[in-house]
Amino acid sequence: MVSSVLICGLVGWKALNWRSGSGSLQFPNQPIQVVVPYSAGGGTDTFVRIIEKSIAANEKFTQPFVILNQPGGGSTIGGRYVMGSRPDGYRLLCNNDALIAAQLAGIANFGYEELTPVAQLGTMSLVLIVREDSPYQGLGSLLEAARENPNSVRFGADIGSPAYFYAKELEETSPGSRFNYISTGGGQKRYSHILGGHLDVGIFSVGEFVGYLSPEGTPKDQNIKAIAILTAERNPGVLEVPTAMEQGFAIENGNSYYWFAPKGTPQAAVDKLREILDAARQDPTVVAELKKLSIIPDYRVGEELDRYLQVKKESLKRFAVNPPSGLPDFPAWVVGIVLCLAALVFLKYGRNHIKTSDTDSENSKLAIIVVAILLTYVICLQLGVSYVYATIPAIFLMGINLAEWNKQKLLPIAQLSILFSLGSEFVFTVIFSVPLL
Amino acid sequence: MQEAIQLLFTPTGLFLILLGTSLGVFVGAIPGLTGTMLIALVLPLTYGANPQYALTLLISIYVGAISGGMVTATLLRMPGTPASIVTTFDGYPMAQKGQPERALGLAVMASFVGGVISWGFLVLLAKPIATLSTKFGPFEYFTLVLMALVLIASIGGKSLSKSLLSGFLGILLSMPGIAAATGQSRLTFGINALNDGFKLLPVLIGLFAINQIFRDIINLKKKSQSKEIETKGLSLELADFRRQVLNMIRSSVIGTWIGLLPGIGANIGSVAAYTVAKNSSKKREKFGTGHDEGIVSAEAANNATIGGALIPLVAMGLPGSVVEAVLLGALVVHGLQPGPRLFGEHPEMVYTIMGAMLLANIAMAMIMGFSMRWLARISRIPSSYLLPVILVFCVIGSFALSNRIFDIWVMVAFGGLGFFLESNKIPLAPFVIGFVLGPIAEDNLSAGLMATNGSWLPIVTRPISIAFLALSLVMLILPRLKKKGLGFNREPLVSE
Repeated sequence: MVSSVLICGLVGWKALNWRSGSGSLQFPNQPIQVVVPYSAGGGTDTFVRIIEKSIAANEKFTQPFVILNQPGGGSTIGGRYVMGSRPDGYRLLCNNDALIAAQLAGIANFGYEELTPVAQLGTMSLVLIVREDSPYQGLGSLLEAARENPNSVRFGADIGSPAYFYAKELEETSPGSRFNYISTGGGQKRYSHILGGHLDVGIFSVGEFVGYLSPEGTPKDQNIKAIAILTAERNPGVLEVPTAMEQGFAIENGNSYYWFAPKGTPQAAVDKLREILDAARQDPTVVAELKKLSIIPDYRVGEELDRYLQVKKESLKRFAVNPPSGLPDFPAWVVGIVLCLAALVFLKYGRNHIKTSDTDSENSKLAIIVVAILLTYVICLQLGVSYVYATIPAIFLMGINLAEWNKQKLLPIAQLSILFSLGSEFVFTVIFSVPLL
Repeated sequence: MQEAIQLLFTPTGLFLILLGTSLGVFVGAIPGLTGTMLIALVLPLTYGANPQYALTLLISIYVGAISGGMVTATLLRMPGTPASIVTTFDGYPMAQKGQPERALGLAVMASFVGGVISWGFLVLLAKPIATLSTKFGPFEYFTLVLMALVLIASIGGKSLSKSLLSGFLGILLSMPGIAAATGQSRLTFGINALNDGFKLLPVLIGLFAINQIFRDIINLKKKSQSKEIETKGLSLELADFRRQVLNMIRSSVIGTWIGLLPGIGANIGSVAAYTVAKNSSKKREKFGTGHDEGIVSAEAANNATIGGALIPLVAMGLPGSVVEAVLLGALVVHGLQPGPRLFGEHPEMVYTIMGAMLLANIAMAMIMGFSMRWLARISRIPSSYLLPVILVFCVIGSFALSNRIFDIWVMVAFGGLGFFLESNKIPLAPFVIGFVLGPIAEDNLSAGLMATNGSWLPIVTRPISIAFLALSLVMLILPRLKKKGLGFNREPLVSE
C-alpha cells in the first residue's frame, strides 16, 4: 500500500520533470553542468562556486549551473570528459593554466585547441614564498644562489604543473641559474614543507598566501614571507610585497581561469553562456568575493581570448620539462617483487589447494547468471541508457533469479525495482543534486 | 568556547547532530555506501549554511558512519564501511553463535569509549602538534609509513609469503596513473581513464562488497540451513564493561595514534588494535571465533581514529584520511584555513569541531540503542530483495565518486580479483594496506631523493627518521626471535 503510493508519487515526479524539461526550445532549457577537474574545496572549485551562486541568484537566468567534480590525472580526467561530451552547450569545463601545462608536459595528449573557448574570467596573482628567516629575502639573492650553485635551491613545484613553468620563466630572467625542482603535492603540503625547512621557496596564489600567513609576532621560523609578486603592479591586498619588476626581473605572470565547451558547440549557445558569465562577473557580491581571494576579475572573449591563450602557450612552450634524475624505477622493483612472491606462493601451495568440492554447482550457476546481469547492466549504462530504465530491469532480473522464479515474489520484486530506481534517482538528483548518468 | 557551546545546544545544533549521526549510521550500515561518499554528497548542501552548523553536520555524519558499519559487519559479515572490516572477524562468528545482541552491545560500548577517549586526545594534543608538525620532512614521512607497513605485515593469513604477495600486489595496483614525482603517466597501457589510477572507493567496494555478494550467492542454500540471526537490540552487562576496560583504553590509544598518521584511515586503526589485542591476550586462539576482545578492540579503535585524524586536520590542515580530505574542503569552502592560525582567529570553529565530535558520539550510542532492532532488519530482508539493491548501490557509489562509468568497471574488476584471491586463501587486508600506503611511501621517498639529488643518506642521518627505521627493524625481528626461541607458531590473524 505505502509502496504503491510512493511509486505513484515518484512516477508523477518523473513525468513532471520530463515535461518541464522539454518546455522551452531556447537554450538553455535544462541545467548546465560545469565540470571542475579538481576536488571540491580546491581553488578552482571555490572560484566556480562563487560564480554558480551568483547565477542561481540571478532571476534573469532560469537554468542553474550544476557543478561536477572530476578530480585526478593532473586535471586531464575532467578535461577529457568534457572534450568527449555532446557539443550542445550543456556541459562546460572550468580549468586554469594547468590545462596548457599538462599538454606541454606530456601529461595530456590534448590541449585547449580541442575545445571551444567560451571565456577567460579571473586571474590569480602569484607570489614567491620563503620562510620568514630564509637567507633569500629578495629575488636577487634567490637567483644569485641558483646561479652560483645550480640545483642547490629547493623549489617546490610539481613537475609539469603551471608553477613549474612559472619557475622556469623565473630561471630565464637570470641566465645560468637552476632550481632543484621537488614535487611535494598541493599548496598545503608545500606550505608545511617550507615551514619545516624542507623546501626553500614555492609559488602560491595571493589568496593562498594570505590564508597561510600567521599574525605578526609569530617566531620567524614559523611564518612565511612573500618576496615577490609576479604582477605588473603591487596588489592592494598585500601592499608590502614588491613586484618582480621593481627588483629588476622582467617577469609577469598569473594563473587564469578559462571556461570551455566541447568542440563544435553552436555559436548561439556560446554567446548565451558568455552573456551569463559576463553578468555573473559584474555581480557586486562576486566582485567582493573575488577580491577576498585576490583574484583579478579580468574577462576576455572572442579573438582576444584566442590570442591570450596562444600567447600563454607560446610563452610556456619554450621550456623543456626535465623529469627528475636519480630516482629508482619503483614500478619495475614492485613488479619484480610481486613476480618473485607469486612464484614462491605457487611453488609452495600451487597444486593442491583449490578445492571445488564445497561449492554448490547449482548456486555457482546462479552466481554466473547474476554476474551476467550485472555486466549487461553496466554495459547498458556505458551505452547511455538512462539510469532508471537500466536499473529497473536489472534489479528485477537479479531479484527474480535469486528468488528462483518464485511466483509469489514476482510482484514485490517488481515493486521494489521500480521504487528503488526512481527513489534513488530522486534522492541523488533532487536532494544531493548529483546527476546520475 | 562559550559561543561554540551555545551554538551546539540550540535546537538547530542538536537537531543537526541527531540528523547527521542517524544519516551516518544508516548509510554506514549499508554495504557499498560509505561515510566518505555521504559527506562528499552532503557537502554541497552546506555551502549556504553557517560554517559552524555545516561542520557540526559533517562531523556527526562522520561519527555515525564509522559506527554504522558494525551492524552489517556483525550480522552479515559484510562490512558496511571499510572501517568495520575487522569487526567481521569476531562480530560475525559471535552473532552466528546466537549472541548478536551481545556482539552489537560490545561494539556500541567500545565505539563510544573509543570516540570519547580520542576526543580527549584531540582536545589535549591539537595545539602542541600544530607547532611540532613542521619538523617532519619527506624522509621522516617515508620511514613513518615504512614503520606502519612493517607493523601491518604481521596481519593476514597463515602464510607470510601470501600476505606479502597480497601487500605488494596492492602497492603495484596503486601505481598506474600519473606519478607524483615525475609528472609522467605510467602503467596505464594507453588507457586515458587510467591517468588517475584506480580510486580507493571502487577498489574497496569491489574487493569487499562485490566479492562478498557473490560468495553469499554461492552459499545461498547453505546459509538458509544455518540459524537465522535475529537481534532484539543490544545487550550489555556491567561485567563485560569491567573486563574490557584495559582493552578499550589500549585500543583507543592505538586507534588515535593510527588516525594521526597521514592517509591511514579507520580500517587500519582497527587492524592494528586487533593485532595488538590478540598478541597480548591470554586467549589468543579464541580470536576469530567470536571473541569479545576482538570486537571491542576493533570497534574502539575505528572510532578512536576519528579523534586522531582530526588532530592533524585541525592543527596542520593535513587530512588524516579520505573523509578528512573532504572535511578540509568544507572548511576551506567556508573561508577557514585550518592550522595554527585557526586557534587564534576562529577559536569558536575549533571548539565547535571538538564539541560536535563529543555530542555526536553520545548521539551515536543513543541511536544505536534505540534503533538497533530496526537497523538489524537489514539483515532479515530476503537476499532476493537485498542483494540486487546492494549491487546497484555499489554501482552508484563507485560512479558518484567522480561521475565516471570507468570506476564502475574498476569496481567489477576488483570484485573478480578479490574473489580470486580469497578463493586461493590470499588475505585481502594487506592488499588494501599496500594500496593505501604504497603511494605515500613512494611520494615522500621521491621528494626526499629529489631534494638530496639521489642520496639515500639522510634516512640514517636524520634523528627522527633513524628512530622510525630502528623501530621498524625491531618490529620485524622481534616476532621472529620469539618464534624461534620460544617455539611460538605464527598465529593467523584472519580466520579462514
